Amino acid sequence: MSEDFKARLFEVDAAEAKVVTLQLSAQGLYIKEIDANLSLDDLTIEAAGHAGDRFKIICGKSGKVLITHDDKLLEQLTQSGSTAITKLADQAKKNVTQRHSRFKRYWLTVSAISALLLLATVLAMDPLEGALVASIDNKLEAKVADFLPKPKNEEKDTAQSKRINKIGQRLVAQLDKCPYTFHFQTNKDPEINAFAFPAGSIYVNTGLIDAAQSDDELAGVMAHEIGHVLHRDVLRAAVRRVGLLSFITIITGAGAGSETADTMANMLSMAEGLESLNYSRKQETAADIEGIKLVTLADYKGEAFIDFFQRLESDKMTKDNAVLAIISSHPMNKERIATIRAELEKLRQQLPTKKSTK
Amino acid sequence: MQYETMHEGSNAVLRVDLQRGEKFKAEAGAMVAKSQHLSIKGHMWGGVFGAFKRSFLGGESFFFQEITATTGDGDIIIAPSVPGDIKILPMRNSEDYYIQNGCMLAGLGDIEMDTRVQKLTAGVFSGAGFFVLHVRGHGEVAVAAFGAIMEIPIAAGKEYIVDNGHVVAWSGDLEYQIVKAGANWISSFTSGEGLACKFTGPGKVWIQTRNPKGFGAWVRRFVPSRG
Repeated sequence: MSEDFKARLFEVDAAEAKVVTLQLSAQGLYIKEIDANLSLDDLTIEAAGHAGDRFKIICGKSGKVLITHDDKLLEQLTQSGSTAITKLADQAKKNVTQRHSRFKRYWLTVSAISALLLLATVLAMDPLEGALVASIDNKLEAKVADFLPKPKNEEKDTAQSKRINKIGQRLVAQLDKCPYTFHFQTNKDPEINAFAFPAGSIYVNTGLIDAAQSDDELAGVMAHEIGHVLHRDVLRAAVRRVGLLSFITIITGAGAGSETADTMANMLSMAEGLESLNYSRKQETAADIEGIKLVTLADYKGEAFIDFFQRLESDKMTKDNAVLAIISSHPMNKERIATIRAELEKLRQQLPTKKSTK
Repeated sequence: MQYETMHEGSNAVLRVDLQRGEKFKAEAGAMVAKSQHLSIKGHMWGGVFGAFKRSFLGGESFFFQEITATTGDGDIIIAPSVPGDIKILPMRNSEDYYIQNGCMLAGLGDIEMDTRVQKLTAGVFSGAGFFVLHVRGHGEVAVAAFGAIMEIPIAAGKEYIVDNGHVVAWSGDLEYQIVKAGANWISSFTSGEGLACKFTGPGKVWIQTRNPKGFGAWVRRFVPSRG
């Protein structure tokens, strides 16, 4: 007794299928439900479906199409003895396997190219930095504004914003040659933090202004942010973020800004933060050194920067963690204090003969 | 389990009547109302890995909700978040379907859901991304879309072209490739159609009468970019 195989039968011009039982014999392929026998000589076999995970038996004479996932039927057709059908079944089997491996190859290629592009973006930043003119930072700031943490409650012409601007201008006046135009503004936010945009817009949260006990302490943080701009740290982060978002958009088919893209971007930035901790420390140290140089040249007290962070560290027990976010991203550990103190000592010996050269 | 779509059109909802002990899965957050005997819990369909793949690669929710008639018979009304129709796709003849990201509303029956990788060109240009949802099993699946849903039957060997932003779901038996919507590249882009999906039968494709991305772009024209 011959074996039964299940398949979907599509009659001529029909898009609706019905499930049928097939039996293979020397006389042909018998369709039980409609009592029809298809001669093996009339059949052609192809890989089918978008994923190529099934195969299609087409009867040239009747126009009937049978689709099945059953590899056993294909196997038996290759051994049916009819030269033509054996060849076709064999070809279909190869096609199904080829499509599967082609899919795998496509995916591996896409992954490899995307990974290489991302790697190239990160690695190319250092050699590119010297070649990129400052105007690129201005353009980039405008282009990537959507991906950067925008100040939500920017404040202008308040007593605090005037104070911030005065300190900022005093700091940037110490730079000999500077391709950037710095703008200093306040952002109404209780979180003790400050942030910089690639082309020199620096925002100081009102939470930080309230927490600082002197202009010297504010100058320390602002000079540190100026250091990030001068070292193009923001540009690096922005390029990496834009690169990742493009990758996510292609992979998920979701537009940037959609829920999927946002979720993935958040997850990636969390992973990115952990992964780049060492690198970030290097950048933070460089920004500290640049900042402390500016603070000293502008005749602010360099130690105030250390005192401010140490005071915030001691407030950890009494204040909300969210407000003290700056402490987790910029911990004032012994190593950091030692570096800043050493730099201060060096500057005191050199001053007033040298100015910041960046 | 019995179910029916109500208020078909732009405000469609799906009402499912369950007998004690019966259950089904629906998109997280889809419940509108339910009777007291039904309980709802978050469910990672396909396990953690399956949920991860579906959520991050397929653009669907990480959690689906499993609705069970625990203490007695009852009914529940579920609805998608977008204004549009709901269509029930039958799976009684071992059919399988590919479903566009975000269009899956509920699995009614013994349904397996997975994420499948697409061809390179389809992944880049179809608008569905590299991964699409693939459902198979016994029962029915409910899909939701933006606007009305039209069923397009495509006979064996026949072709049909659909703008990639309008595809909701298609039979697993269909083959498809990305093509220019116009006669050549210039007419394709000047006509505003760009690239489209060419389906080859046998099978069916379900399309949404409005393009969500196109609608989003239209709305954005009226939103001031700077406040």
